[in-house]
Amino acid sequence: MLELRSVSKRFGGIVALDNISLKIDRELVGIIGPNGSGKTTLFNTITGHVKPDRGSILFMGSDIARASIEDRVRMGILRTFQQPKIFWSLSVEENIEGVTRDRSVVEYALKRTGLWEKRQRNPRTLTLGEIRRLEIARCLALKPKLLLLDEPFAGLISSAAAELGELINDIYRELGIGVIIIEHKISHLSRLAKRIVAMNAGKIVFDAPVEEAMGMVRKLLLGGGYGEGASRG
Amino acid sequence: MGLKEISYGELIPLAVILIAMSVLPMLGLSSYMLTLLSLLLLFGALVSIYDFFYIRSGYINLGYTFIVASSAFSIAITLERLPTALAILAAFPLSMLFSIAILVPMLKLRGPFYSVATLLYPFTLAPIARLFPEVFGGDVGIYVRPLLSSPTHLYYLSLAISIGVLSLLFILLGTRLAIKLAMIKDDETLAESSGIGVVRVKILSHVMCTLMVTAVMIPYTQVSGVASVELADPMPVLIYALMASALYKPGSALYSFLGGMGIWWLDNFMRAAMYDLRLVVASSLLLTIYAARVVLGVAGTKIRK
Repeated sequence: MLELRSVSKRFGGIVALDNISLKIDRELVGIIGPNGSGKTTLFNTITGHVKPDRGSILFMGSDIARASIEDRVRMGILRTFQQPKIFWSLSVEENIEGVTRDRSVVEYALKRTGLWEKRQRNPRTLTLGEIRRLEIARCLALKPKLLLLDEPFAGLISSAAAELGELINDIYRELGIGVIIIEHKISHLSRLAKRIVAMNAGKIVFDAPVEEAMGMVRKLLLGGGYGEGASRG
Repeated sequence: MGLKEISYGELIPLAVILIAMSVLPMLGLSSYMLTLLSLLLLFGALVSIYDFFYIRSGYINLGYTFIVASSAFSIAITLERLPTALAILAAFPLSMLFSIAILVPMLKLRGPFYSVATLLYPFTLAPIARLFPEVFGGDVGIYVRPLLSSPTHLYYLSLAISIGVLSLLFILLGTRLAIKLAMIKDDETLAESSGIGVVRVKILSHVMCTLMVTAVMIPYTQVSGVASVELADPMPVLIYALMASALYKPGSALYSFLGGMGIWWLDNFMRAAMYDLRLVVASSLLLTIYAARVVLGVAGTKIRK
């Protein structure tokens, strides 16, 4: 579904992505890594918010490195952001109405995320968990093939995080799509993802099944080889 | 609460005022009064267009008077050369040609950069008019061929065009265009990431704005009788437009119509009583309104609380 081939990106002297190659199919993949390891830059490169300096990005067989953000959305690459991003001046329903003409899709997206009863509400009255669900509802309305979630559990209390995790898992299973989740803590991903990709200093440190990844993270943490952030090139 | 519910709430008082205005000529008002009322209605319409297309999208176009003046010139130029019906039709694409210039910074610039870039446009009109006096009439401007001689007829034409503009804006409020403009204002990056063709929406709203302004300028130029660079003067017209949109709440095109009419009336009074202080008074009022919005906790450009 998605393949990154030798993708590199620098910001001045900072190497944000260093020759990243990654293949993701219709699976739920977790990306972990410390701050500045290149996780969000990787997302930005996939969604078109950042143009890579080198390398190619293939989605469903076609090179999308030059495609616009809008084109990528049309192809089904949808994302949420680290800081919750919704349209604050619009009602919950209008947040979805603005992205699709299809009334039944609006209804589906809001019902699927449990926000239908709150559709007339001002999003400022929603809880953080509900805001995160509204972000996912927006993505659902745009018919995702690949869903990129940037730290969706950040700031959530454990019950809300568990609820959100369940929703993400259900959506992944129902739609048979690819889902990539960025997280700081592997513990949030252990019950969700089957595969974990760890990044550090713009590089992939390991790419392994979740059970194996848990052990590797432990080893890396003890060995001090994890958590240095982006490298200077 | 959604956009549609709010716009219905705004429609009723407006409809009452417009119905009342439609019977005014029957009260035997003087030609001067009817002319003033015509300009009042048209200025209100210009403010509501500005509010809908620019305040709602967060693209504060400080070059709006360039569109107003170039539309007036388009009408005058075509009326000078073509038969009436053809001239009116031709004025629309011609004003579009002028306003494409202002579209260029809109595509790349955001926020204050866009506003400052567009502010330069109105100031370019005067040198252009002086450079091509045979087309634009230099500093004096060009005479607009009269189509209607009776002030009552002009008043009704102004009223009809204003109602037409407000109806169109009201219809647009219920469309996805209004939602998309609000989305762009809220967060352009998120709008892009939601598949909104941000550039396409900007172009569409700019084109619609120019066409509506041109429609308003048909009776406006008939009332004023001349199209001149004076119309491009951004001060204090822009202050009035910003003030009118902030009086109730930014992004409320329908109430801006009333605000625009009220402020135009105030301007008319100041022209007669304190011409030199006009800019000072207008600016102070604008600052007071914005300060009051901050104090009252309604700062920013939220559509609803």
